[in-house]
Amino acid sequence: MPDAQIDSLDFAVRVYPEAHRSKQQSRSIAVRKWRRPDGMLVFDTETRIDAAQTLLFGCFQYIADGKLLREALFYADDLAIRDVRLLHKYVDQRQRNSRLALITRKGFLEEIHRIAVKGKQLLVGFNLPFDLSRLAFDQAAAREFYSGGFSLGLWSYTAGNQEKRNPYRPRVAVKHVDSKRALIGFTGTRRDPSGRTTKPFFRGHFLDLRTLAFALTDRGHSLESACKAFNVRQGKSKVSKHGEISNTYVDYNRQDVTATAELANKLLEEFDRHDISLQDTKAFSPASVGKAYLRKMGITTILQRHTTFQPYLGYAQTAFFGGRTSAHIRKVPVPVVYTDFLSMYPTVNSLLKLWDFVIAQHIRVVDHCKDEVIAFLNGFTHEDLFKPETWNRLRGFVRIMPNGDILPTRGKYNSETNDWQVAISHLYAKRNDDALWFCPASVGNGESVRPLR
Amino acid sequence: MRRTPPKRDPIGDHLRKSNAQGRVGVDAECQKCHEKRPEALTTGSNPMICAECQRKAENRSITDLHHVAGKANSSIRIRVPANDHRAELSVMQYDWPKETGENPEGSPFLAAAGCIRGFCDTVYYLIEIMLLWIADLLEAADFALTKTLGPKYWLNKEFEETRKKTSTKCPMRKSTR
Repeated sequence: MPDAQIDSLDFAVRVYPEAHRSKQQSRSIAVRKWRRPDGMLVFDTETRIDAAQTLLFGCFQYIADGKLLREALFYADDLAIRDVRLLHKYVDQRQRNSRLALITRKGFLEEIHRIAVKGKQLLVGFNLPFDLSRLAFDQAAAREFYSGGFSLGLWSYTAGNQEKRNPYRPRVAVKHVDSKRALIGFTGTRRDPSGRTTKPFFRGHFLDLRTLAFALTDRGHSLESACKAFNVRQGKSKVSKHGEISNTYVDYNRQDVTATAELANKLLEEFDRHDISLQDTKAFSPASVGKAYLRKMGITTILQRHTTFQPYLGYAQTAFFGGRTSAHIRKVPVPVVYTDFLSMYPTVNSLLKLWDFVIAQHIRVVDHCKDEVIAFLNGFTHEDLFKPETWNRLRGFVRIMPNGDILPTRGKYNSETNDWQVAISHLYAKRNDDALWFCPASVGNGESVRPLR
Repeated sequence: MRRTPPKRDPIGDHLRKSNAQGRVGVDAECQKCHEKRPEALTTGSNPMICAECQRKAENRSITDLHHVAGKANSSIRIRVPANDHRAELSVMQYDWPKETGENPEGSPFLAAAGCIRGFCDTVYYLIEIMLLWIADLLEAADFALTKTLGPKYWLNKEFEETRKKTSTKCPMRKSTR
């Protein structure tokens, strides 16, 4: 320990917890075959333009086997009578050419229950969490699988002056992974006819097109850009004024639903080109598609090939430092320095020949090679890093007790942001058993490193 | 002419069809008679079998007594093939308003509505099974004769007399001239 005063800082490491799942359970998940429902309920909502962005009205289409079976507008419970009359007039004018109907929000929720819960058909939208939350009458913090997200109450009944949650209907839980992806599902349990046991509600087939477009293109899309990218004929239209019901505004909303429905077909068509067994409602990212390809190639997970590999996966997780980007100053122009590596993961994967580990029938772990590793790390020069033969020797993990070495760590370096960030800093072990796993590339020149194992 | 009556509730109709298809599986058909309508197939049977073939195998009648106006509305029944009962006539009745079909209080107006709906459904069914196939057959025959004997194949043939009769008697034909 050097003489200078050193402040201690908590830092975090990734772990690899052992999942407690019975063999039978994992088998039943593996054999269940996905068949895409042939009907889909596509909807979009328009909201007021105040901060709360409450529901104004919306439109839905039910499409089965490529045919439009029903189209209807729905409106908020608290919509002004003048606006309701406008909607009635709009529907009356157009009923000759199309079988357009006008229903209330509750009427639409009944359709969602009939189609998406009981009928198990697809519920489709672009940025579904937003639209679903517009329909909700209450919200709460989600629990269990969706813990950290929120739970929406859609179905209610009125007792006196109070709107209460319908206990015979599910709630909808939403947990955001990031701005493009969210886990969405019906939650809650229902009693079976005998009344003795309860069963969970059907989880639902929610198809958020923003997520599917991201999974297929690795780009964050808006409805407009996605329509352009996938050559949707009737793309998103524009309207001059939002938040006020008019014929053009209703036309705009209906056009959005038509564009969403066409985009859904295009995206599903594109998805079907991938000969993989992945549920389209579970394609959350390009990685989901990549993993499905690995399964299709017959590549099993490393734990299926090596049942005793669990600890090594733990070491690998501890040694992994994936950068995370977050913006703490928003909507203020500031000078920036662009620091990014293009496609760093596939580059590292290729240069270090990590693919060998993915397809290897057997991986032999060489333990207790302390002297060899110390000699390699001590003899390490910057020039060596440009030699491919050096890269091959970086494939491993070392457990070290740091003594002022420059190493990556994940800590809360900025007290103002209170955010976990990865930084490269001098690291000291507090006690003799404070040792951590790193990959040799992170350790670099190991003059002061004392490997323990 | 449309082959099926317009649906009062197209979403419900599709959901019921989809549900029935889900119960028996995609592309399921009776291994004996190749019946494909999912409502007519027996769920869980292995090999897949339809209601009529199952009854034949069990030496039972292959016809059902169908309540034309719904059981709650009238006791009038007609004998129909079991597969058609399940896959056509009952399916049409599911599209009725729930109150008309169930009529729990025995309302005479709902009973009358049930009679009208049941009559229309039965007529549609009879048109489909007794008439429209003949139109299909005639069109197929015309196609085949044109192919083998050439266009105007009826000239100097015994068909010509029939054609003359139909053309003179058809009021529509006269009015268009």
